[in-house]
Amino acid sequence: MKTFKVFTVFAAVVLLLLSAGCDSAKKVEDQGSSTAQQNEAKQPPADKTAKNDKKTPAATVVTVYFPNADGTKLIAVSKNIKAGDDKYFGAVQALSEEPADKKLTAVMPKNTKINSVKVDKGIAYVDFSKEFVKNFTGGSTGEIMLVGSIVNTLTEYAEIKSVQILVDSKKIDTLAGHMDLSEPIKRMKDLLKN
Amino acid sequence: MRKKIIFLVLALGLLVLQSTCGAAEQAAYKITQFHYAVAKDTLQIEIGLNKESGDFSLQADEKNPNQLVLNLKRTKIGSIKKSIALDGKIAEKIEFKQPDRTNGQALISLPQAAAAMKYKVYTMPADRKSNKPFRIVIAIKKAGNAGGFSVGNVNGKTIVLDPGHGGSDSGAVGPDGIMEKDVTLSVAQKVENILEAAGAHVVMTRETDTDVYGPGATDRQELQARVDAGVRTPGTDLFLSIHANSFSNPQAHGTATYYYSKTNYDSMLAEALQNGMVQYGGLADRGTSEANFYVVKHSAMPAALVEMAFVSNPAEEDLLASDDFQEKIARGICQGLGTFFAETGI
Repeated sequence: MKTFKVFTVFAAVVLLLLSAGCDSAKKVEDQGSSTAQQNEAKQPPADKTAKNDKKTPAATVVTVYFPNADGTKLIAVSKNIKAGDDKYFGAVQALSEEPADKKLTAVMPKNTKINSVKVDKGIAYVDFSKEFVKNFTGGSTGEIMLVGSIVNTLTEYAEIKSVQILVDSKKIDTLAGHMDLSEPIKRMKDLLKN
Repeated sequence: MRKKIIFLVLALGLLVLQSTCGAAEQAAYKITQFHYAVAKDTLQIEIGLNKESGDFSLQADEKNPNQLVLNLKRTKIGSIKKSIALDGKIAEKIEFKQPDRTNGQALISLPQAAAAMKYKVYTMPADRKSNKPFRIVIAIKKAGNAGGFSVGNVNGKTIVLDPGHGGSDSGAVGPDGIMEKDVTLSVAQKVENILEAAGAHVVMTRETDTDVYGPGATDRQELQARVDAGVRTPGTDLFLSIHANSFSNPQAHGTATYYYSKTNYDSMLAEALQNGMVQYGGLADRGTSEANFYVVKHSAMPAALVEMAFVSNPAEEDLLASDDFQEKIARGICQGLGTFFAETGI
């Protein structure tokens, strides 16, 4: 019995190390999510085992992307979303929160609401409120980072190949006159390079 | 035989009818509106017509060197004022005349010789939203000064310069209120001066602080109107959109160039421009990136969009507003263009 326990703990540690090792290249530990993790500790233990099991990742942990301070690349951050929230919706919602890591920058325009996130035939349709365009203040870099954070956060899911941004259910031409947003955007891999 | 004769008579009759109609050829167009404005040392005259015309030409008057003549073929003057005083500095007045029954003419009096001025004529489409008809636009300013900088390999090239944003769209605004649209126009004009002095033909998508399509247009209409400047100009070698960058974090800084790979030359153009700007402007090199940007994606010719510096970064905002940095970055852009033409031989 005792050996079994020791083995389980050992296996869990190895798994943790492994998963940390896999992601350390691009993931930054987010302080915000560790506070969230404390809350999570109160949840039934069943959830916790699921979290360490790579085959069935917990629905409550999502990977989202925030730009670095200089707006040169996107950094993956783990965020916890409310249990029961749709994972796609929750992931986009998490982009509106200020990242705990001060080296990262929140880019979602002020007061933007997410009307819906729907996935159909590999395309995620993210519908924002009008503030998404109205309160956007950046230039080329601002546009690329905002669109990139949304697109890369959603294409993190294998079933999503591209993302169509909508505002109040309608397609938009551009955010501020740079990127052509009239068509679905594929994962912006260049923004993930070092 | 009879049939043949009838046919001949009919044909003759038709011919006669046609030629008499031709002699009394009706003026096809009518001037319906007149407007002028001065911005940034450029006088912009807009002559509104009832419908689109390509039948016009602008040149210096052979008899009076201080006068420009706009010939408006098959155009009636209509009921607008026949003599209108202009700003007084760039041009004194404009007079509309009807030299014969079908053709119209506008004479623009200048305080100095037309040879010392830079002038061009182009058209703008009707814009229903802002209630503007099809317009023939004349832009006049003092001949540019290349600032003592010369660049090679651009002689005879046709280049479309697109100063980003403008009019109702200020573009990004810096912490001290510097607007992207003003900086992009200033730099584009400096680039224009250098290129023209070096023998290039430059087409500007806008000469003043204005929307290119018109206020109230959709983003697509506005951006397509800029792309169309290249479409309308036969033999355009490249399209260059000039911008200032912005990011939510004020730390972001440096120079960047964007392109969309659709010809063999887009990335080379971006590379050459980026190198020129970094060399002359001296800011951090953010490199070149491929981007899904409307104006570079939809331009048929090699195209690039330069982001000279960040207006959202306080130090770079000051630079962007300074004539010294504007001149430096303009030189860098021209140097890049010269390198591009030398490398590619196009």
